[in-house]
Amino acid sequence: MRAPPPVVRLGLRRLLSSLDAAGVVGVFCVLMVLPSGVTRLASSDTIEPAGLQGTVSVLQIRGPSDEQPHPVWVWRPPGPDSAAIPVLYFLHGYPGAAKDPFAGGLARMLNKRLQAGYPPFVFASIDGNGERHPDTEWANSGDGSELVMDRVAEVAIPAVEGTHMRDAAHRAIAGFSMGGYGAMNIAMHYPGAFGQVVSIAGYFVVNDLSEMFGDVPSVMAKNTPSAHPWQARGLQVLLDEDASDPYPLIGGQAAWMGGLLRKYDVPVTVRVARARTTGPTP
Amino acid sequence: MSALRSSFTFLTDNWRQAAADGADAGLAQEP
Repeated sequence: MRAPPPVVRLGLRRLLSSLDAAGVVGVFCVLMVLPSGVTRLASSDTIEPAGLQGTVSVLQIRGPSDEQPHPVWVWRPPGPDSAAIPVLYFLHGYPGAAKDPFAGGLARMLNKRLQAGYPPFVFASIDGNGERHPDTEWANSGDGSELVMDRVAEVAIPAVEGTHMRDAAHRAIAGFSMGGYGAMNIAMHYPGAFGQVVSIAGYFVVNDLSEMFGDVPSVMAKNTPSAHPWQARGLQVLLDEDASDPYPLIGGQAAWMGGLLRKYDVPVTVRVARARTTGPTP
Repeated sequence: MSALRSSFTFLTDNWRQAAADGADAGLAQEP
C-alpha cells in the first residue's frame, strides 16, 4: 500500500490535532458544569411528565353471598402504592358493568390529568350485578341472599387497597344513576368509611324493581337515603344532575336531596347541568 | 363522562384542601 501524498498527511495531522483540542475543551466544560459529587442521571432515571401513565388491572372478587367471581377494574397511577394516595370507588348504573367507564375512555382521561399535573388517585370500578336479582340497587337484599353492598365495603375495598388501607379522608365513592343511589346508600350504611360521595344522575328513594327489599317497610326505610339525611354527616357531597334528564325518578332529585342535607349541615354541592347526554337507564 | 370528569375536580380540590389543612395543623403543633 502506498503512503498518502504530503498534502494529505498534513491535512490528517491538522484534523487530529483539532479533535484533540475539542476533546480537551469538552472535558473542561463538563467539569465546570457538574459540581463535584454530582452524577449526571441516565435518561432512564428522569421522569418525563408527558410520558406518565397509569396501569389498568382487573381483580376478581367474591362477596359474602357470591358464588361467581365479579370483576373490579382498577386504574392506578405509576409508582408505589401508599395510604396517602386517595381511592375513588365507582358504581355503574343499570344495566351496566365494571368496565363501562373504561370502555368510555376513562384510562386515557386519567392519564391526561396525570400528565397535566393533577394529584394522582386510584380509580376502582366495581361490578354491581347480582346472581339472584338482576337489578341489585347496590344493596343487600332483605333476605340476605344477595349482599352487593357487602361485596363493595367488605371485599372490594380490601382487595383494592391491600396493605395500604385508606382512612375516610383518602376514600371516596361515586356512582351513576343506580350507582349514584348506591354510592349515597353505602356511604350512609358505613359511616367513617368514606370522606366524599358523588352522585351523578342519582336518586335517593327506593326504586326496587327486582324485589331486593321484598316490600319489607323496615328494610326499605333503611335503604332510603332521603329518609335519614343526617346519616350523611361527616361526608362532603356532590349531587350532579342533567336538567334535561328524561327519567322522572331522577329529575329534581339532586336539588331536593341537597336541601335535605343542608338542613343537617352536611356540606353539599348541587350541580344541575344543562343539556348533557344521558347514559343508560336507571 | 363529562360529569365524571368534573367530579374529579371536586374530589381532587377537597383532597388537596384536606392535605393543606393537615399540613397546617402539623405546623401549628410544632414547638
